[in-house]
Amino acid sequence: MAKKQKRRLFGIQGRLLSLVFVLFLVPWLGYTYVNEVTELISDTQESALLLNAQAIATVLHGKEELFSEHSDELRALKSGKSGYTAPTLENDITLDGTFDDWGEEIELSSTLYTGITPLFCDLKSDVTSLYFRQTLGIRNDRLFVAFDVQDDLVVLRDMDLKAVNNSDQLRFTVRSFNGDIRRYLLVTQKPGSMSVYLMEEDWETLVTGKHERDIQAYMKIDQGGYKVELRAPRSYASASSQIGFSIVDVDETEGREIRTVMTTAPGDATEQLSGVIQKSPGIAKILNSLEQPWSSIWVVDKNELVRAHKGVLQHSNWSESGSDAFKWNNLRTWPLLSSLIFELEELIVGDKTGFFEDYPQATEERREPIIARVINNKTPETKRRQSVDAKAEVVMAVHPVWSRNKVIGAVIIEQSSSAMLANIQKPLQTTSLIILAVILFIAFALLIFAYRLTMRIGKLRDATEKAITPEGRMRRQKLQFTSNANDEIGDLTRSFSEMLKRQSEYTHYLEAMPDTLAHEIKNPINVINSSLENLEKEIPVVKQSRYQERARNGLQRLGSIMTRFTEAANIEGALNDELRERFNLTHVVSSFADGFRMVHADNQFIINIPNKEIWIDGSADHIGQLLDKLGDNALDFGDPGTAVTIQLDYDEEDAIIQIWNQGPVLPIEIEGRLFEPMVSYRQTDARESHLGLGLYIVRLIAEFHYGRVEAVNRYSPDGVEIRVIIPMSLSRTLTHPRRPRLTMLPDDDPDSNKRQRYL
Amino acid sequence: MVSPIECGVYFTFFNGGFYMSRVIAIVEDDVDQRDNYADALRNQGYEIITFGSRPEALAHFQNSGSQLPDLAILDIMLEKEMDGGFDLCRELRALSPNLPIIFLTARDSDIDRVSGLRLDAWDYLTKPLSPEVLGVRVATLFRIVESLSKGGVTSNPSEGVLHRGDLEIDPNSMSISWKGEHLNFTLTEFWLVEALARRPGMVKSYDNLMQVTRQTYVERNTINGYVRRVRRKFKEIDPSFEYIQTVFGVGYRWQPAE
Repeated sequence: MAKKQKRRLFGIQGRLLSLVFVLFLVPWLGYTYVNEVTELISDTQESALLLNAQAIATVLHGKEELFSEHSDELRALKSGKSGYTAPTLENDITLDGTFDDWGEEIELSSTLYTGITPLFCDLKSDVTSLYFRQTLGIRNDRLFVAFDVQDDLVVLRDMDLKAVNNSDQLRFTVRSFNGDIRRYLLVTQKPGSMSVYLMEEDWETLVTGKHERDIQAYMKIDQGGYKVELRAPRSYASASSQIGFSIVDVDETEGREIRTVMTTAPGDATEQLSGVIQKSPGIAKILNSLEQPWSSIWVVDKNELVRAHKGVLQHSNWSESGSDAFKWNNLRTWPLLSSLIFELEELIVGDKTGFFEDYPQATEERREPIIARVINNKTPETKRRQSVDAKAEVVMAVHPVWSRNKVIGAVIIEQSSSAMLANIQKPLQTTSLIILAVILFIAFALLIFAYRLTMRIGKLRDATEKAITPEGRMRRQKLQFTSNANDEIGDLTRSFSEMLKRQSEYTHYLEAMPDTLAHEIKNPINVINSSLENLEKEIPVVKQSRYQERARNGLQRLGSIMTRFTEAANIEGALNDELRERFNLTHVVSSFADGFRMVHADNQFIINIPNKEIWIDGSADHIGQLLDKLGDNALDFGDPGTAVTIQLDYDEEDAIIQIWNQGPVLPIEIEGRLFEPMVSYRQTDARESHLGLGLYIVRLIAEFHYGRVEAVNRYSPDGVEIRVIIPMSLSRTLTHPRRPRLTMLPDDDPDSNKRQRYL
Repeated sequence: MVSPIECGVYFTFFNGGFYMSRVIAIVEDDVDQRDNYADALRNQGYEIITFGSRPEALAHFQNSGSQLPDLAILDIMLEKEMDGGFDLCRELRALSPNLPIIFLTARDSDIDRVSGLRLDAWDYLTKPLSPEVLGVRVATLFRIVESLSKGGVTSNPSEGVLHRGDLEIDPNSMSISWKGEHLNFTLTEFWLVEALARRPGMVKSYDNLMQVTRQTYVERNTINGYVRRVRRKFKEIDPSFEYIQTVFGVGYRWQPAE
């Protein structure tokens, strides 16, 4: 029987499972595909942006006058190139501290100043909580400036104090075309219109002490700080003049010491005062007519000064965009799965669809080498760059604007690829979900399949093993179960069954062979026998012939071979048909011993039978047969004149029959084979036939009683003991009868041959 | 022993005269064995007719002109007919319910033995069987018939009759009775019971019993089968019958007198 192996690590289940891992190539292919698609989209986006830029450039083509607006101011700024840019405002501005009337410029053109920006920041103490946003605008020859100041503590002017500069204040410096510098201090004791004083250079001494009327400002306190709107004449922001602002912060009402002075400066300005550039209203008008979501368009002149600007790279209400809505919807439906997919996706394509941080300054202040290149090389160009926080990729297209074979400016369009990627995200997510589901399903199906397969193979193995006994005898004519499955295993099952059937037919044929043979042999023996007898009658002198005697002897041997042969062959079938009944083994053994002693009156016997009933299950007749075989065996091998011992013993579990004779010990060559059929160790008269079937029958009968048989050599005096050990309780019944044992125990003293040794 | 009804019929068969030689039909497909037995029996003074197959034998007996034999010895396997002998026996029984029939066959399974005896065969003998032994059996059989034909009374009824308690064995009529009731035994069974009862308490080993059956080779299981059937027949009359004791592994014995 095939030894049942330990659970295999790489059985069919394991192998199929490892095949499942091959399926994970699919997401990898998907990843590659998505990357390709992303690349393609970015390329397409570049071309589209360039086309857009070209379109705008075509509109601006030849319109030199648009670029020459306020060119005088620009020329003045030519050297430094730094200046406040002031868009032309679309609405009239009311000085009320609210920025509603500023339109989108309040976002587009504002500049954020914080304590850590590289400004002329006069820190009187450690890093302040102060920061503010400044926006400039021009309308109808007036310059408007908006300040949105974040200040944890707003300290207003105390009218009881004489000094004007001991509260939160706004400082406005103007240098006129002739170099005169005027310093305006804006303070207020309560929210509303602010007082404007002309100050000396130390910002402490009043020049006149009068309220200056050319500048008006309004302050409004709001959450976390205050807002200021300021109006000044357009001339203060002309090409020939320069301006500068400072926000001064006082954070305590007692000492009123100035804590922070934060000064504004456009771009990389190195001086405290800068000029103001008004963006081209003409170009702005053209740009305003364009609808380009989530992109930033600006137009520069040949000096790379921004003439108009529109749009932002990303919208403030980004989280409401499609992709995120999809994400949140999915999260609600399949929270775990979706979040897993989302994480996976971020890992694969990166978070290109969420928020990102780009240049905090207005686009004007950026110095992009690509713009200079386009203006110089006169060829359009595209570029991809990472957003400042590297969370998004930004595509940039720059196209030159021509006028009479000269480049007069350039159109720049910037767009984040996020928007595009957001569009493919939904199908990507859907596909990912589907692929994941499919893979899980396939893995599950394969597992089930593998489980079924191994179950069926295991069942087949068990059934096959059960069909044949450990000794190789057929137990069944077919498998325990049949299979109608129309597959290889079903086929295998059927052919196993068929094989067993054929094998059992053959076995049956072999088993029937002794019977058939005996039957066939009986007829010729009968012919010889009757012929010999008739011969004696016909020629009486033959009766005296020694040949006649030998012929009869031969016939006798032939007959006895035949009888023993059929006896052994029939015993298995007889045992199979035998009904088990409970009987007293003591009675059977003592009955046998008495009878055996009586029949073999010439021999000596030592009989040891306990005075106790030993009940076992089985067949008393067959135990009798077993005893007879063992008795005959002992007589045959016993030295003449020595006694044969017949002994019955028992322990807690087993009854033990021991029959032993004095005589030659068992040769070691037949170790383990003594109880197999046709094994004989007799070396006696050649005229007697020994088939070696006697002890085989003993074994069969012992096994029928769930017992076992052992042969043991005994020494001093030499002899052989055969033991039959039969369990007394059926609860100890074994499924497979134990094999007979012929064992050799270790010899403690190899020099001694006298010791009892076991074979 | 043989049932009285059967015996009655035998009168009619043999009233033709005692000295007229008896006719024995041997149906056996093996010509060597057939002729050997035929020769041996002829030498003992019987008239022998032989047949090699069932149809041949049946055709002869069904012929209105031919008489039925005094004894039929049938092989079971006849040519290609596995149970040809059984079939022939059945057919002969249809012709004469009382014709003595002996099976002589190489088949020695219990099933065959029982089947044969169920067909009211007088005996079931297994090959190889010495022609001499067969002659003895045939003679014994005819002696019983003769004895019965004389009203079942021998010249000296009590001569040789064996008494063992409730058991009575008459070797002349080969009849056995238990507590006054006749038991219907085949010859082999009779010999077995007689052998056991003759020496109560003495163990008859299987080897002894094999010789008693007067057959050449008999298996231990066959002896066990005989004893089983004998016990059953006793128990039919006397359910408490326990006189035949098993000596496990050795043989049997008749329970010794207390």
